[in-house]
Formats: sequence, C-alpha cells, structure tokens
Amino acid sequence: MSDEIKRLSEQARKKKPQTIADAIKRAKAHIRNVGAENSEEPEGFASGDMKKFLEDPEAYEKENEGSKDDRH
Amino acid sequence: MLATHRDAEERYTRIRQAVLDEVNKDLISSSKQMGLRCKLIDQVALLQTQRWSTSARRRVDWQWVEGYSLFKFRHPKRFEMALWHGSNLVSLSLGRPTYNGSKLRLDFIEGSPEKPEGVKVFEHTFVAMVGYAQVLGADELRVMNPINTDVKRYYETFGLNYVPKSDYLYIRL
Repeated sequence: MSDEIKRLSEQARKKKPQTIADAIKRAKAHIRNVGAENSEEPEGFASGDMKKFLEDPEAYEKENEGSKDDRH
Repeated sequence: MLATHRDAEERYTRIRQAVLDEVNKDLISSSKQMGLRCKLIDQVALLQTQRWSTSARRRVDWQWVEGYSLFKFRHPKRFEMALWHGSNLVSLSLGRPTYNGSKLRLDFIEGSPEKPEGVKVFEHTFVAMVGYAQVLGADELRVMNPINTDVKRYYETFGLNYVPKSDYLYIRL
C-alpha cells in the first residue's frame, strides 16, 4: 500500500460520521443555495398515485420499480 | 404480524421518531417557522384528512386512512411524516427505501388544501427525508408521480431532476 493510500484510509477512519443533525443542516443549506426557499408552493400540492397503490399494491410497486433495478 | 416484522416496525419507528425530533429542534429554533411541528402519522392526523375531502381546492381524491394502513403493513422501513401548524394538519407524506436500500422514495405527499398562506410543506418533508436517508445510508431521494406540471416545476426548484419515462424526480445526496 502506498503512503498516499495509507494516509487517505487513515483520514477516512478518523472522519467523524455524519449525524442526522448534520444531514438536516446539509439539506437546509442546499435549499438556501438553490433558492428554493423563495419558491411558491402550488395550490392543492400533492404527488403520488395512491389510487393505483390501493387498487393493486403489488402492480403499483412492480411498475414503479420494474425488475428491482433502480437505476434511472 | 410476524415477530421479525414487528421488530422491524418497532426499530424503524424509533429511527423515524429520532429524525423527526431533529427536524423539530430545527423548526423550534427557526423564527420563520412559528407553530410548525412534525410527528409520526397517527389516528388524529388521519382523521383530519377527512376534512380535506370537502375542500374545493383539493386536487386528489385520496383515502389516507386506507392508504396509510396498507403502506404501513407492507413497509416497516417506510418514511412518514405528519406536519402540523398548531392543531391543524398541514401535510402528510409517506415513502420507502428502494429494494436495495440505496434510494429513498417519496410515494405520497399531500398538503392540506386549507393550509394557511405562507406555510410550505415540501421543504420540511425534504429536510426530514434527507435525515432519514442519512440513517438508511441512501444516497438519492426520489419523488414519485408529481400530479401536474406546476408541482413538477416546484420540485425542480429544489434541484430535483425529472425522469419522464418513469414519472419521478430525483436528487443525489
């Protein structure tokens, strides 16, 4: 193992794992950075297809996730 | 309910609650979000959604009581959040990790058609989802099936990218 790889793995080991609070701070910073704070939320705001889910949950899940390959 | 299913339900409920506790700390400290609090979805919240059906502003005709009950049974690792403004429910949201756990989906979200002006619900759902994704180790959020172009455009202001083939938006974390 080269010195550089040793140094990087040591650094990664020492790096403090992110907490939920860190993730929340990161999400809020992202919202500020992209300017989404100032966007107007549309009236009657909703997403999803609950009717399809209730009619046939297995078909809904299959259609939404295909062959369990979740790439775009 | 199998013991393994019950164990998973209890374990992930603790995690969900821990995430919402953190979001609430942030809401309490923010002067702009007076009166907003998030909770797990309970019967009180589900009952309030029945009031939504009488609103002319409502864009969907969903039965949250049935939808939540079935989703809860099928997905112990689900994401869920009820957002309250004082004693009024302003949104419900429900999602789950993908099968391999690397993405966190938002399957259903609905804002109260009668929520007060200026109260936005997706922003807080997004923040809570990022927190939950952190615990799950998911590196992407997905928002499924925006109900119209305005809603899709709104998500895009958060940096989410639309995938027309499967009708969802995503953002890498």
